[in-house]
Amino acid sequence: MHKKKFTASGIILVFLLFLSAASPFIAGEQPLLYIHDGEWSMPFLQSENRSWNKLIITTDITEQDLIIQPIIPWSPGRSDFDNSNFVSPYAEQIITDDNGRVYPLPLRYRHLLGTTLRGADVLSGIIHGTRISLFAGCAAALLAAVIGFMTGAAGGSVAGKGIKVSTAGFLLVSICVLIIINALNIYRYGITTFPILFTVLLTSVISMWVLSRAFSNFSFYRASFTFPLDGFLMRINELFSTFPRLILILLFASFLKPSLLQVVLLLGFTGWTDLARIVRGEFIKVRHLNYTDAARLSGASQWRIYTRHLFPNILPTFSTAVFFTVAMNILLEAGLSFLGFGVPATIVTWGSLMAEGKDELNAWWMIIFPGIMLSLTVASLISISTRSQKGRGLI
Amino acid sequence: MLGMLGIIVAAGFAITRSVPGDPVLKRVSGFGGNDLFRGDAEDEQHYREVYYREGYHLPVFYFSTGNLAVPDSFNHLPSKKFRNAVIRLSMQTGHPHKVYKLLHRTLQSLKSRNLNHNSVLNADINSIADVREIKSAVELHAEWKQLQSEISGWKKWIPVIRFHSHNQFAGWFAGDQFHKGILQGSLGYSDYSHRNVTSELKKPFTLTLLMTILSLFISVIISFITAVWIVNHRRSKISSWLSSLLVFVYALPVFWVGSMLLLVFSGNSSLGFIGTTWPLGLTTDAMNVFSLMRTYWPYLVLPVVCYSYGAVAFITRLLQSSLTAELEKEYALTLAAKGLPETVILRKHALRNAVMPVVTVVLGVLPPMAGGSVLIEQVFNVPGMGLLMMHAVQTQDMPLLTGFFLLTGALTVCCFFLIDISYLILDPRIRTSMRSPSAANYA
Repeated sequence: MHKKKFTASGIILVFLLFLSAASPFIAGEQPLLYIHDGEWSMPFLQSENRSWNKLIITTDITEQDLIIQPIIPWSPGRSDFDNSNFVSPYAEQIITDDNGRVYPLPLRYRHLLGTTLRGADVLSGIIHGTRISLFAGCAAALLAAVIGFMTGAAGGSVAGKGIKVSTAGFLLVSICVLIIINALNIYRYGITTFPILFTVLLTSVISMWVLSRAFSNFSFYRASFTFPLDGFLMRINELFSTFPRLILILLFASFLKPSLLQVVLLLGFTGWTDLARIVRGEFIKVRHLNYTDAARLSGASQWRIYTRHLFPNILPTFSTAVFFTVAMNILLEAGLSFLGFGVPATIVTWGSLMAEGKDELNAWWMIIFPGIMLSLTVASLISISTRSQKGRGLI
Repeated sequence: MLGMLGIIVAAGFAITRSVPGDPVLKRVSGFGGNDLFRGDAEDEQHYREVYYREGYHLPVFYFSTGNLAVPDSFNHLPSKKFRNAVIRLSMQTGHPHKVYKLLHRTLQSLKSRNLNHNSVLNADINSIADVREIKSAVELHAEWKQLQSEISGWKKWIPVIRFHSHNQFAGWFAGDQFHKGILQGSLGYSDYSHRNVTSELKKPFTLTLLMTILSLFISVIISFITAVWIVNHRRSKISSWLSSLLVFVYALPVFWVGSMLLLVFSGNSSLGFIGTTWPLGLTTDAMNVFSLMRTYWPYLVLPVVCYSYGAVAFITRLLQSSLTAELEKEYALTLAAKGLPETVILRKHALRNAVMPVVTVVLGVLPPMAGGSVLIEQVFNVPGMGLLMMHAVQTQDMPLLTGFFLLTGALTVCCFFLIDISYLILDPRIRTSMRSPSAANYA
C-alpha cells in the first residue's frame, strides 16, 4: 500500500502545533500593539488589568489611538460578567459600559462558541488548552519513552542470560549506597552542613573505588553471580502495570501540589510499562538476526552493534508506540482535569471546560466543542501511529 | 505467579504506608481535620492508645536501615515532636539513651513548672543548655552541659541494617493480638466508614464486574461480526472507510461520549426508558446478580455502551488484522484453490486460529475494567468501584485502597493464568509440545 505524503491527520497535527505555539497571538484580550499619542506599547506582555473590550466598544478610543488585538479578543480564564451564566453562541450577547448602558456585541467581539458559568470565552479556552494538552502529552511521553526504552533495552539485551556481577563488587557498591543514603538522611535532619556531607559522599565513593581496584587482582574478587536482570525488570514492569493507572495517579495527585509539572511527572512515571514491554520484545527479536551475529563475529564493538543494527530496526515499532502513548497521555490529562485533579483550577484546559459543561447539560457548546478538539487530536495521533503499521492493528 | 501476587501485596502495602500524613491523627480526630483534636490530656491518651493498638510503634518491614547512633526502639514514642527531637539530639551526641533520659526529665520538669516546651524540642545540642527554661533549673543545666562535652559525632555516619520479626507488615499480613490479618481473611477496617473493607467492596465490585462482563460480551459479539464482514468485503472501499472510522471511534474520550449520551437521552423523548441518573440508595442487600440486572437494567445501558465502544474498535481491528494474516497462510490458499468460498474458509477454519490474540486482549483488559472506570462512573454517577476508589483516594482511606490493590492484583493473576490455559486449549501445538518436546519441531 503506497504511503501518502500529506494525510489529513498530519495536517490536523500541524495545525494544532501552530495553535499551541501561537495561542497568545491568536486569542487574548490584551492588545498586541497600542499606540497612544505616538508612544508604542505591547500590553499583551504585561499582566491583565483593564477591560480593553469594554473600552473599545463603548468609547471611541479607536479614533485617536491604534489598538491591534488578537483575532479572538477574549482571554481564556477571564470572566466576562455581562455574558455570564452560560450564554449560547446563538444568543444575544451584550456588553455594558460604566454607566450601565447596554450595547450589543459586534460580530468580531462575539463569543463564537459561547461562554462558561463565569462568562469566560470557550473558544479562547480551547485554543489555550491546546498548549497544555499537547505539552503534557508530549513531555510525559518523552519521560515514559526514556524510562521505557532504557528498561526494555536492558531487559531485552540480557533476556535469558542475566548479567554477571562480581560478588565482592556488588557488596562494596551496596555498602557505599547504604552510606550515601544514611548521609542524605542525616542531612535531611538538619544536623550537618553541606561541605561535610559532600566530603563524606566523595570519600565513600572514592574509597570504595580504590578498594575494588586494589582487590581486583585477588582470585576471590573474581567470583561472580548472574543477576537475573531481565526477570527483575519484568517484575517491576508488572508491578506498575497491574495497578490501575488512573487510581495510582489520583492517589499521588491528592497530596501533591497541583501543577503542570506534577501532571507530566505522574503521567510519565506510570505510563512507561507498555513501551518497555514493546522495546524488550523487539530487542529479543533483533538480537540474533543474521547480520547482527555477523557484525558481532567480525569484531564490532557493542556500541556499534547497538547504533548501527539494533536501534534502526527497533525505531519503527518504537515510534508507533510513542505516538500512541502521546495520544493516551493527552486523553488521560483531559480526564484528570475533568475530575478536578492535575493542573490548578485557574488554568483552563479541555477537560475543565467539559467538567463545567457536564453539570449544566443545557450548555451543549461546552461539551461538544472541547470534545471535538480532543477527539480530533487523539484520532489523528493514533492514525499516524498506525499508518506505518497498517497490518498490525492498533499498536 | 504466587510470587507476583506477593509482590503486588507488598507494593500495595508500601504505597499505603508511604503516603504523607499522620494516620493516627486522622483516626483520632475523625475526618473533620484537626478540629476534634484539642491536644489536652484526654486526647493525648486516646492518641497513645490508638498508636499502640494499631501497631505504629513497630518498624514497617522486616528489615530497616538506620545508623549506629539511633536505636530502633525510638519508634515506641508516640509523640512525633518528642521523637524527632530525641533522634536529632542523639544523632548529634552519639549517646542515645542518655539523651532520652535527660530530655524526658527536662520535659517533666517543664511540665511541672507549666512552661512551654517548644524551644527545648527545637534546640540544637550546642544551644540547648542555654535555653531559658533549662538555665533556670540548675542541675538540668549542669547535666546538659556535661552531655555537650561528651559529643561523639562519628557514630551517626555508620549505617546499620536491622532485622525485626515484629513489624507492621507482619501484623497486617498475619494478624496480631488486636486484629486479624490477611491470612485469616480480614482486609481491615475502612478509615472513613469504620466498616469491614470486605463488605465495603462487595456491592460496588459486583456491580462493576457485572458491567465489565456485559460490556466485554457485547463488544466481542459485535466485533466478531464486524471483523468478519470487513475481511469478507476487504477489496471494497467501504471496508477501509469503516476501519478508519473505527480508529476515530477508539480515540473518542470516554467521558465525552458519556456526556454526549447524557445530553441526548436526558430530555423526555421516547427514549426515556433509558435512565440517566442512578437512583440513590442502591439496596442490593438481598439481591443476587440476576435480580440486580432485572431491576437496574435501564440505568446500566449507557455505562455499558461507554465501556464497550472502545473495546469494539480495538478488538475489531485486532481481529481484522489477525484474520487477514490467517488468510495469507498456506492452508487457506489451498482451500481457496480447492474452490471453497472465502466466507466458509473464514467461518470454519481461519476464525478459530485467529482468536488467540483476541482472547489474550479480552482477558488482559478484564482486570483493569473490573477495577472500575472513574470517568464513566463520575459522569453517570454509578456506585461502582471507580467512584469508591476516588472517594478513598480523596479521603486517604488506606485500608480500603490496600484491599482494592489486593483484589485487583488477585484478579490480574487469575486472568493471566486463564490466558495461559486458553493458549493450551486453543493451540494444539502447545499441548503436544508440552507432552513431548520433540513434537514442537513440527509446529
